[in-house]
Amino acid sequence: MALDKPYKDIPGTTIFDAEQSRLGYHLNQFCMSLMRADNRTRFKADERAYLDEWPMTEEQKRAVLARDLNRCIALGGNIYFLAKIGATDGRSFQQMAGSMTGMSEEEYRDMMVAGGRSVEGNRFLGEDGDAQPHHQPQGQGHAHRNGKA
Amino acid sequence: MARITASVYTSHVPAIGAALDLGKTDEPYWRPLFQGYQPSKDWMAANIPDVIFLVYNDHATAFSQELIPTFAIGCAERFQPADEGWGPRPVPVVQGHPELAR
Repeated sequence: MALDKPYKDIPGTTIFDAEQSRLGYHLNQFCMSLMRADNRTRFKADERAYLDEWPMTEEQKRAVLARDLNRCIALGGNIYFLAKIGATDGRSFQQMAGSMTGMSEEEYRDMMVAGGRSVEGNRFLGEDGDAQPHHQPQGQGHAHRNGKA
Repeated sequence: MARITASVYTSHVPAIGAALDLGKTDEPYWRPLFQGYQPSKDWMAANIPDVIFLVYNDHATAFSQELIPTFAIGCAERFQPADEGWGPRPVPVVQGHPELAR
């Protein structure tokens, strides 16, 4: 019998459960390898070749190359591990978290200083808050990247 | 007989250490957090214990997904600052207490 997962309806949040952990094993182990300076150097010199040393799925490798953290999480990545990719790139956690919403670093910081994202409309899928899939991505960071601003 | 003198806590996201190292503690985003530390820092400076029992959850630093113990006890004589991708933080080596730990 499949496990009941009532936590699948949280907008914008993927719970890192046993299933995600299994999916992401090699992706997360690759991230751990970036804790060594010599590995970071090799990764930065040829990202694709370095990723090919790991038994990750092609989808996972492409998500890392694109720095698509949302996709990485959907494919089993865990943010504690993925943060090491950001560190390797010299990006702050604010920048990483902002990139997952389409917000610029400044927009994300301003939202957090103002108390963070409101839970109103964001408790479960089907409401109308800003974390809902039909309102994501949000922010100027996203608009700039896509030439809409 | 040992005497427990205090119990202190902190939020512990890695970004806090990065903010310290990069001189961001006075930025609006960080100031409230670091101001909140000050009374605890003052108190601890005036009340230095013999030993600290440091309890924390491992943010994918000491352990990868290969081994995930529910509890582990650090028995080393000293613990080097971790390199979480930015290089090791410029903080002192943590002195262990192997006799007590074992």
